[in-house]
Amino acid sequence: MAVWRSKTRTIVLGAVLGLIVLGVFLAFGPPEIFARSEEPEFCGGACHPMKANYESWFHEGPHRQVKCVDCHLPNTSTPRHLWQKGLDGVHDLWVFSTDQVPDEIELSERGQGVVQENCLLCHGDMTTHIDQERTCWDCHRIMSHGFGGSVEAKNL
Amino acid sequence: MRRKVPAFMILAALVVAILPLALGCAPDEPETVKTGTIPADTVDPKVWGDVYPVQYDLWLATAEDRPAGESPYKRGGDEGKVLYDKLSEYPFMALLFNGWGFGVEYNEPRGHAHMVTDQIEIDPSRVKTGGACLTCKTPYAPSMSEEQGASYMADPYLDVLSRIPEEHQELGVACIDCHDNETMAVKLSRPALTSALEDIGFDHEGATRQEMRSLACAQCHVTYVLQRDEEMKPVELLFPWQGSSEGAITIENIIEVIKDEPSYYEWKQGVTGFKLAFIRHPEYEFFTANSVHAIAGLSCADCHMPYTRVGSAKVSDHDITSPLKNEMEACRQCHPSSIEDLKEQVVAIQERTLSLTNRAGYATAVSAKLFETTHEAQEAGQQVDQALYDQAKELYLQAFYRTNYLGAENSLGFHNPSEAGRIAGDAVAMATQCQALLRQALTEAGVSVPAAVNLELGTYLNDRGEKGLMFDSEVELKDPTGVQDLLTPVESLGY
Repeated sequence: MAVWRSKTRTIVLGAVLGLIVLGVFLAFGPPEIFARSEEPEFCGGACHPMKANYESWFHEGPHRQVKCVDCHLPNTSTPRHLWQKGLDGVHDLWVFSTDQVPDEIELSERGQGVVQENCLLCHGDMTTHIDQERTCWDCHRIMSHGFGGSVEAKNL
Repeated sequence: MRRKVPAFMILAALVVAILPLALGCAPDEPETVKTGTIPADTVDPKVWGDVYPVQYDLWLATAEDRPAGESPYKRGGDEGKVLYDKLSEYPFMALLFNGWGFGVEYNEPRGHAHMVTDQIEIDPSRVKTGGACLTCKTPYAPSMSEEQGASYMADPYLDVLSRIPEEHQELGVACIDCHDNETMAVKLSRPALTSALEDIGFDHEGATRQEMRSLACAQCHVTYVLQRDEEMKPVELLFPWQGSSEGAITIENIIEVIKDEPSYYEWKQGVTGFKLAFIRHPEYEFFTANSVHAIAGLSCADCHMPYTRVGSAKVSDHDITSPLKNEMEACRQCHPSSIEDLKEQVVAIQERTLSLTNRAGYATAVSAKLFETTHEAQEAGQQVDQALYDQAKELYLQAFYRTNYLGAENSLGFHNPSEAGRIAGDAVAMATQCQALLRQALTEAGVSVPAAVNLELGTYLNDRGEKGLMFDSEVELKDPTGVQDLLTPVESLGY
């Protein structure tokens, strides 16, 4: 097709390349959007529906040192992490912008799988003798933000 | 013109390059190191213990005595006395069970490790039934029952015991009773349970691991019937679960199954002369009847084999005991109260259940005595109204089996507190109405009965069996509220 050998091609390719460079700059350059969006303050601060869960996590014990993304995004490989981060981010942004946030925010099936996988990433050595079918928070309920003591997380 | 590389090939190359990065690099899944294998059908726990030493050591600990005073109403196995005479704890049981082994010697249970030893040491009238008594005690039971059939069931207990390899004759529940030797998956070994689960429509083949953590216990911690032939020899062991469903194996359904089937009658009650069935330790039925913890999805193992950290591994605590005797470890995962507060709540529940069990027990005992009076009157030629008698008997049976159920269940109500209250309440209502009807019938027949029937407990409590067991008033568990004294005054007990 003629268009691919034309000046249009140069402009289009240039624009795409420029966008990519801009994206990388914004994400990993001085603005540090990627790093900041990995922090709990972003999850709890940018979206007020998440604030209750953030507060619940904030007042917790051992997992206070662990970031939201350490549990809620896949951490076995960076591409997986980034891919899911993008998907979840777009989904959450859509839900928030269209005012579809439920009164009681619950972790999806897929989300539960990710969290369980992350539990085992750190604690897997210890759990080889016990039931692998149950979720860890079936017993360790205080890890669920809803049970972590923040009444708001139950949005009463 | 240069040959252009098609765009889709560039895309494909990129995907192929990214894919390993996207999917790979996950750390290996942790696995237990297997230090050996366990051959199929291995009963010897030491062989299992070589491969799983942590669980084995914990299992061995069930042989040890518990610290005294942790569980004020279930003291079996506690340091010091160790054996507590249940008939002295609940004197009305001595009256009600008079007529067979249960009325001779009946002790509070102690650690799993002692289960066969306890059978050997108890008054022989308790194991008169035969080898069938070994079904829930020895790991050899499934294979013996399959190989020996009727002779396993009915031959004398000690004969059948002697057929077990000598080094394991006093071996109680062991690894093979609950586990698959290759995968350690929880596995059922007792056909009576699998058959009963089919009766209630429970697909045990498809059970989740969490469900299996209760079903393993349900192999033995259930009520059962030893069906008899004309010579009262046991022919089959079954669970009376017909008509029930998962989570609803109710006392009503159980009574419905056992009350009117003559081949399920196992003994003759001395005081009333009635041939009766019997209910044994119904923990599984009681707990799963919509107790709060069953509804929350807990299994028996969650409370009685809580996960415990040994070294770097988290394992189920195979030292099975009451959470009261284990610092409430199991409870504190979900209930962040102090140990004292948790124990206080449990003991409060047990006290209320104890109170109601006393109420039901003594009401039923008084009814039994009134039947005794009625039968004496009939023998002396008095005419007793048959309709009133039949009604009274029906109520008596309903009350008796409920009292039997409550006394046999080993949590003293904790497994399902409101259900215990419900059953006890019904038993008291039924027994009291039975008394009213019998009194009416006796009055009509011209027989006068004192306001407070003398229970003559002394005759049932003293000089029992080969050991000549006597009433031990120190272990008696009286009604903590004191209400029972109002209904059955001390003078009427006849110690």
